[in-house]
Amino acid sequence: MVSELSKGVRLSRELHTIRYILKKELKLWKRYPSRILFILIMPFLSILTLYFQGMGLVGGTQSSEFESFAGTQDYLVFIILGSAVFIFVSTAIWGVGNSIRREQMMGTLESIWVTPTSKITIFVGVALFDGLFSSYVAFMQLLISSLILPVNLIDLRLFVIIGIAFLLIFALYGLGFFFTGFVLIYKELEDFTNMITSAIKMVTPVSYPLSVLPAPVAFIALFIPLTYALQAIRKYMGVGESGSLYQYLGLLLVFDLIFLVVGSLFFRYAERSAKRRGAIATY
Amino acid sequence: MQPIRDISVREHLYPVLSIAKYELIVSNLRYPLRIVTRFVGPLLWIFPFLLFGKAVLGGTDSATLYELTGISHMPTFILVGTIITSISFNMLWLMSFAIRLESFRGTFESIYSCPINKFTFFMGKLLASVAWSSMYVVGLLAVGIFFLDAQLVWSRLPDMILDIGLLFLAMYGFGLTISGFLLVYKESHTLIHFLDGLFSLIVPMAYPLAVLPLPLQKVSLMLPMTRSVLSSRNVMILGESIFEQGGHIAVLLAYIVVAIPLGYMFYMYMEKKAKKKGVLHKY
Amino acid sequence: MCPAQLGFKSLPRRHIPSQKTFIGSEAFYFVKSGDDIAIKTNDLTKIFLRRNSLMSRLKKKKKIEVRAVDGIDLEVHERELFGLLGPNGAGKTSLIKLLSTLLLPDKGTASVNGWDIEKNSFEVRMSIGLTLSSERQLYWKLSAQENLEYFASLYLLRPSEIRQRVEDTLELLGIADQRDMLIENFSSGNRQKVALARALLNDPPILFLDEPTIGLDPSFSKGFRKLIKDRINKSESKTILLTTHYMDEADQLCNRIAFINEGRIVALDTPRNLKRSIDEKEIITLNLTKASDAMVSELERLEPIHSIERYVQDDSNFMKIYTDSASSCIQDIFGILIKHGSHATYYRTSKPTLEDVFIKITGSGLDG
Repeated sequence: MVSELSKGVRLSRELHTIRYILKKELKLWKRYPSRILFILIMPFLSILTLYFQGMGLVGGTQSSEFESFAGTQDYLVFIILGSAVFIFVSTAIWGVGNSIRREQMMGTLESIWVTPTSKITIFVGVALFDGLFSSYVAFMQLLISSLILPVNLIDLRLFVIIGIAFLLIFALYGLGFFFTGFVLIYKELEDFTNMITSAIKMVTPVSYPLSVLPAPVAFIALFIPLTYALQAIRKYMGVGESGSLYQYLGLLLVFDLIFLVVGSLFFRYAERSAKRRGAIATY
Repeated sequence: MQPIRDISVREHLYPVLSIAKYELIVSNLRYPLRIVTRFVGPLLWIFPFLLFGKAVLGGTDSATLYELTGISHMPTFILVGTIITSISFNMLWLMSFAIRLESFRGTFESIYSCPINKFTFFMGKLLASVAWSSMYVVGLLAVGIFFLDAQLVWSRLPDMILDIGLLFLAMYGFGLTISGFLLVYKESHTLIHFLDGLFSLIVPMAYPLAVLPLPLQKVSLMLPMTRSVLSSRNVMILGESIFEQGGHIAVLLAYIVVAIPLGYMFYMYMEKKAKKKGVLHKY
Repeated sequence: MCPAQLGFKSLPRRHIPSQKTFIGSEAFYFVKSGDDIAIKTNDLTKIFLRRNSLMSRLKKKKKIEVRAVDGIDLEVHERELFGLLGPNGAGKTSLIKLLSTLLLPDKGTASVNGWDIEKNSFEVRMSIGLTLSSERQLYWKLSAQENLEYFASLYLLRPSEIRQRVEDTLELLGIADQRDMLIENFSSGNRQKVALARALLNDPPILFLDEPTIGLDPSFSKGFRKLIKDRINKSESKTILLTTHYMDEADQLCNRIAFINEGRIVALDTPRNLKRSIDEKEIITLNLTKASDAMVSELERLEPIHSIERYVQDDSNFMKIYTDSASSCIQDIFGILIKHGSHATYYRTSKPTLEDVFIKITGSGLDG
C-alpha cells in the first residue's frame, strides 16, 4: 500500500534527508584525511605561483602599473581575495558534478536515483555541504596567506567576504546542475572539468583585473556571476573596483537566478536523455 | 607441463607500438572531449601567467627579470618555460599518473596478468608522449610567433630539440620512480594531484628560480624538468650552445644513466611490495 | 593448434636448449616430464593486514590479521576442470590471484604449468589466461576487437598473428558479429565472453576463471557453462581452475571440487564422491518459527535420523535433518515440533546436493 504523504510531511522528510546527505558527505571526506589537506594546500599553491611570478617581474608585492589596471597597487591582496572566492567555484564544479561521478564509480548512482527523494533534495544537500566546506577552505586560505605572505587579512571583514561569496551559491547550484547534466551525457569528465575550471579562472578577474583581458574575452566575464562576487568583495575591501557595492551585489543575484534556471533546465534535458539511452550506469 | 612459446625480440618490442597507438589514437577518439582538453590545455596554462604578467608589468619587459636571468622579455620567458613544462607534465601523466588512475577501471590487473615486461609497457607510454609533445612544441611555438612577438634565437632550435630529447629519457627514469611510489600508496589519486601542483609550483615555468625560497630552489634543481627549463631558456633565448649547459645536462644525463635502471628496479621492488600487501588493485 | 593437444610434454626451461622442436611456425621447448600436474600448491598462505579505521590507526591498535589463503595444498591435473567452491570472502579470489602472479604468497610455494609463481612469473603469465569477476577488466570505451588486439600485443603475440588470433577467439566464443561494438554497450554476459576471449588470446594451457557467471541470468549462464565445458575444456583441452559460489555450476562443470572456507580447503573430491560422503539417503529441510536445544536433542533421539544441522539464513531458523527415510519419521518430527511450540513454515525433502555437503562440513551455508 502506498501512503500519501502530505506536502508538509514530505518537506520535513526531505529536510531530514538533507541532514543525512551532509553527514554522509562529511564522513566521505573524513575517510580521506589527506584529501582535505590537499584541498587546503592546492589553492594556496596557485597564490604562491602568482606571488613568485610577481616577485620575479617587479621584485615586490606592489606595482604601480597594476594600479592603472586594477585601481590598487597591492596585487598580492588582489589575488588572494580572488583565489579565496574562486574556491567556491571549484568546489561547486568538482563537488556536485563530481559527486555524481563518484557515486557512479561506486555504483550507487542507480540506487540513489530510484529512491523517492526528490533530486532537488539531493542537490540541496550536496550543494549546502559544498558551500559550508568552501567557506571553511576559503577562511583557511585567508588565514594561511596572512601567516605566510606579507599581507594581513585577518579581521572581522572576513565574515562579510565569505558571506558575499556564499551568495554565489545559487549560481553555483546552476553550474552544478549543468555539470551534472554533462556528466550524465558525456561521462568521462575529469579532463573537461579541469579545462572549464581553468577557463573560468582565465576569463574572470580572479588573478588579474578585467581590463588586461582583450575586450571580447572580458565581455564573456560579464556573464559570469563570479565576476560580480569578486568585484563586490574587492570593492568592500577597498582593493580597486570603481562601481558601487550594491550594483555588484544586484548583478550577482540576477545572474544567480539565470544560472539556476538554465542549469536546471539543462539537467532535466540531460537526465531524460540519459534515461532514454539507459546511460545512467555506464560511464 | 605445457610448452612456453619462444619470444623473439621483435615480439617483445611490438607492444610498444601497440600501446602507443591505443594511447594516442583509439583512447582519444573515444573521448572527444579529451582531445579538446589536450589541445587547449597548454593554452589555458600559459595565458593566465601572461595576463597576470601584463597586469603587474603594464607591458612586456621587466627590469627585475633581466637582473635575475638576463632575459627581459616576459612573454618569451614564459613561453619557453611552458613548452618544457607541458612536455614534462604530459609525460608524467601518461607514464605515471594515468596508469595509476587506470587501476580503478579494473584493467590494471588484466594488464598485470599479461606476460609483458613493464619496461616495454612504459616505453609504449613514452612513445605516445613523444608524439603529443611534438605537437605541443609546434603549437606553442606558433602561438609565440603569431601572438607573443617571441624573441627566440632560431639558430639554436636544434640545441633545444636535443635538450628535449634528453629530457624525454630523463623523465622516463623519473616517471618510473614516481610510478613506483604511486603503486603502493592507497590514496594515489590525491597524491597525483598534489605532485602535479607541487611540481607546477617549483618548476620555474613563469618566474626565475631565484624568487623561490632557498630550500625549494634546491628541490627544484633536483628535478629534470627544472634543468631542462633553465637550459632551454639559455639556449633558445640567450643563444647559448647546449654544450655550455654543463650542470643542467649533467643532471639530465644522471637521470638517464642512473634513474632509468634504478627507477626500474625501484618500480619492480614497489610492485613486489604491492603484491605482498595485496594493494595492486586498490585505487 | 597447441602442441599440447598433440600429446607432447615439455620440460622446465633450465633443461633446454638441448632440444628445440619446431611445430608449424612456433618454436617450443619439449622435454619429457613425468607428471601431468598443471597446478600445484604447497602450504600456500596469504595473510593480509587490515586496519579498521582512522581512529584505530591513531590509537595504534594492532592490525587485524586476515588469513585469506591458509596453507593450501592442491594439485590440479592437466585438462581438468577444477572448481573452487566457497562463500564470498573464503579466499577463492586470493588463491587465483596468487596463482596468476597478482599477489605474492607469504608462505609456501606454488607452480603453474610447472613454473614457480615467484621465480618464474614471466613463464607463468605466458601459460595462463585470466578472467576476473570485475566488470571493469576491459576498456569500456574500446570495441571488443580493439580490446583484444591491444591485449594480444600485451600477451606478446606475434604481430602478424594478432589479427587472426583475435578473429579465432571471437569466432570461438560466438561474438564475432559484435566485434566493432564498444564494450560499454555489451550485455554483461557478452562482456564476460569478451573477457574470456581475452584470456584465450595467447592460447594458454591453463585458464583461471574467477566467478565466470556471476551476475549473469540463468539461461545465459547455462549456455556459458556449456561453452566453458565443451568448447574450452574439452575441445580446446584447457586446464581450467574456476571459482564459484554457485553449487549447480560446480556440480555440472567440474571434474573435481575443492570446498574452501576461511582460506582453507575443507574437502576435495569429485562432485559424486562428495555427495556420496553423506551416507544418509534423504534430507529434510525445515524453516522453523523457533528452535530450542531441547527440541533438537529430542529429534536426534528418533531412530531413522542420523544427524541434524541448524543454521540461520536471512534471519530465519533453518534445520537440515539427515535421515535414511523421510517418510518413516516425518510424522514424529512434526509431533516433536508441535510439542515444543514450534512449527515449520517451509518443508522439503530432497536428495543430498553439494550445498548439503558444504553445510555439513562447514556448518554454514554458501551465502553466508
